[in-house]
Amino acid sequence: MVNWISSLPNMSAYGTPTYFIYLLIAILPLGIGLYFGKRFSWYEALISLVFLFLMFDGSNTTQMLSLIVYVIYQTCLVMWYYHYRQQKNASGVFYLLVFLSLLPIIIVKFTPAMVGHNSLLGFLGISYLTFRAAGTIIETRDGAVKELNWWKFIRFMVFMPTITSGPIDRYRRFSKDYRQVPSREKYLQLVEKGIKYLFIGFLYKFIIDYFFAQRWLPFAERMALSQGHHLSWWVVAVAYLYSCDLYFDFAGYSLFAVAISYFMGVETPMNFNLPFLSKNIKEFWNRWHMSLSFWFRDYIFMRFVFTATKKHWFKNRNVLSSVAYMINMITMGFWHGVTWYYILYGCLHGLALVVDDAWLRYKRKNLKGLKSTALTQNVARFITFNFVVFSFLIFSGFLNTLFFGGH
Amino acid sequence: MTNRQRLWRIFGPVIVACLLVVVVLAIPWHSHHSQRTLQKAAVSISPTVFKNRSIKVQAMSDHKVKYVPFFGSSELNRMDRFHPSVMAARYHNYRPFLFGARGTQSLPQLFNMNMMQAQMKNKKAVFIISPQWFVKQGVLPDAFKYYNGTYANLLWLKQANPKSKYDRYTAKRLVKLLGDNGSVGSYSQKIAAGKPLSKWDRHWINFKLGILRNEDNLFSGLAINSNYQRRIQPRIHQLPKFYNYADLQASASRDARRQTTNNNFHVLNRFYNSRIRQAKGLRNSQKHFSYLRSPEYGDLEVVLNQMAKTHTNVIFMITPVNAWWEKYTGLSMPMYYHTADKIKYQLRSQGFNNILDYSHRGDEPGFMQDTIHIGWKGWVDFDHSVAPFIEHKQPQPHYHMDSAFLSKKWRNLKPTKKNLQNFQQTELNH
Amino acid sequence: MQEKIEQLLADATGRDASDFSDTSEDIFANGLIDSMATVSFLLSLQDEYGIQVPVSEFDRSQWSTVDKIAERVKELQND
Repeated sequence: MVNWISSLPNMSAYGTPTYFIYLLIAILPLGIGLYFGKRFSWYEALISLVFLFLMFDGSNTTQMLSLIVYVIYQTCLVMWYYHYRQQKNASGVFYLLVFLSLLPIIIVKFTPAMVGHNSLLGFLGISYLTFRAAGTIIETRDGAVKELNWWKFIRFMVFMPTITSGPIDRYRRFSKDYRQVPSREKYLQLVEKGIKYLFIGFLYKFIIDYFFAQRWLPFAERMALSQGHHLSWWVVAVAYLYSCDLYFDFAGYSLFAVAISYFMGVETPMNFNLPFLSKNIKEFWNRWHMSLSFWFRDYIFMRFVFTATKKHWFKNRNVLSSVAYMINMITMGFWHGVTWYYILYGCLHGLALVVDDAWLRYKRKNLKGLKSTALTQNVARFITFNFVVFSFLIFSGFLNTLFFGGH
Repeated sequence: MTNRQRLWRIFGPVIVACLLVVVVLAIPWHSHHSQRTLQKAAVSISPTVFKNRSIKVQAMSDHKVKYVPFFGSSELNRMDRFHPSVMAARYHNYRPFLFGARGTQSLPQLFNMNMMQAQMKNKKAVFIISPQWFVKQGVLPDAFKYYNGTYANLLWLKQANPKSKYDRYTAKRLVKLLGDNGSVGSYSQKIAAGKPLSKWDRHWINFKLGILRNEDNLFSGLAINSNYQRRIQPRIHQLPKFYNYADLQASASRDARRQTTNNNFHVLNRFYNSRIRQAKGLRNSQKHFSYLRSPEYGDLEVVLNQMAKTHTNVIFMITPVNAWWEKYTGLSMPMYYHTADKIKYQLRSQGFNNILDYSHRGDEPGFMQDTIHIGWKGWVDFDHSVAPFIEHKQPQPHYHMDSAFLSKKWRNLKPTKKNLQNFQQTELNH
Repeated sequence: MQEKIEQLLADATGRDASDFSDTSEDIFANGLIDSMATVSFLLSLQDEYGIQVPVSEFDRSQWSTVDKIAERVKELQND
């Protein structure tokens, strides 16, 4: 028996089928509890801790330390601001707090570009935790967060199913789920959906993505590199294969996270909704990595537009929306990492949104006769998909390797 | 709908699916691969065949066709018409079963051999050693993992003897390459520390092996690549009907001349275009390479021990490097020859006397297909020496293993005449 | 109030007020309104009814139809 425990490996989240066996056995008592209308908070905390530990044990212990320090730091910031906000509401304090909350991720993202190695502060999932913490501060300022409890906040931050790669939940939504136990009817619905998502996730991540990630993409990359440091048809293959790999890997992962959350009685938001069927780029961002794009929409885009409109910064509405799109997407680029390809990726998507808006205006004015048919819709899908694939080729960093031999 | 019906509707399919999986994996499926599968697998050089057991065991014990294991690495993938598999199909009464691809150095081969231990007993084998394996770091963990799976590891651990220096050495290497996580890691640690596995450990190993064996029996015969149809079969009839060594040498020379026209390295045109033409910074890039000190010497020793255990009569070949290429990259040829000497010393002093040393033959045009792999004339020559060894009765070899070759001292020994003499007097037992 | 809201929505989106005549239809799901228009709509609500709607209070599920919007506006007016 001791041997069995000592043979527990370092388990990255949802990495292998075995991981699911351990995880599902561990959360089974929780499920039974929820079925009978009880939420075993202490047990949930315990298994969350165990699985977090397994994620970061072995060679990742410095990451575990960073995670602990980080969570304490953010909790202090958020709790302090919440208490402050009950009495006062100075803009300066708010901006300072948002800056302090973003500071760790700014350091982590800029360190590789500045000194050439990864920052010690970093750990797997830091960006996702930053969204949760910063979002909570912003909503506290708006007065939307009406109660904030440090323990619940920590649970929200390190909610085990979603810690490393999202989806990004909101504190208000999470704590509402958390306060109440779903009715039996509702819980069974969640479990039913969760099982479906889990199995679609298996199909995506362990079967379909195996071919993209292990077989086809590496082959195409090798072929492209062997042609020399220039563009070739193999690079086109890399672009499509990488896009599919990214989708099936990430969507599969997100489905796991959502499914496990459902089993734990928390309705974590969905992250993907058949993004490659989008008819335009705006729709794409409503279907791709939704929890991230909605975060940017609500906390950056809408806020910027709101303030700019109120203060009449721009005379022309179209100029305003274009500027807002660019700010939104370039920030997203920087969030992915400070490299030329992430930033270019952000710029491209910002431009695409601007062009999309301009096209809509043009169409409304000059092409009134153009009817929406199956043909026009499929042409739109085709154009959108191919643009996205092109942008993902840049995002992948493969061109960086191809042109400059970098990593 | 009652709650019970509801629960059944939700969990029923999952439970049924899980049961089916358990049933499928637990039934001891009988494995039988067709002759065609064996023939394809023998030249597939795929990691699936390498890591699993059922196909090679069946091939090695086949009564109709005489399969002979050819252990090696990337050179096995140089399938021109003089490749041993083509030559054997045309002229000989056996079929090479190719084990090896880029990255299969000594240690992966040990686990590979261990899986077909019984089938190798008192048989013959061919083993191709590349001095390029003997880098400072030895086999790379990623390459090792790619060619070596849990199945092979557990099969080895199951029979490992904690009292044997050889097995303790191997276990230490396993921990080093795979880490001490997981069941394989912890069992290896025990063996490395000289402790036997517990009853619980053995149960667990047997349980896991049962599942892995079923997976192997069920799946490893599926989706074998088409190397045979694409690269072997069409070439068989490109060889003359009757064997004539001089004629073959001449046509190999001709092929080589025709296909190495765009470069001064005597390297295949296609290889030159894809790998050398665009690459930068290769000139003098290998000046500081040395193959003299490497854990690979110890790894080779455990492989030798394995073949001694199975009384396998083995012929070795030590590969050359392309002389024009090495002049360009600045690799030290004296160092290369010393490496070959050190390897040969280790082989000979333990009774492995069938050695084809090609290390000096990289300057013959047409002998090598590219920078470090033999082809054309090299293959003809290789076949000319290997085929008689396999086809004719050979005297029983007498191996006398000496664990001093596992030592750090040997691994790091510079093989000068004096050093070797010294090593023999102070370390070896005879 | 519903009619006024339909008019404000039409102004914000540059569409015809009749597009919003189904007061129980989800205006976000069917793509009638985007984020840009949402913000100008919120601002016009503020001007029209003198209420403060912080952007993060704008939880889409509670503001998704004309009927729901009317309801929320009434609530905020009474606060």
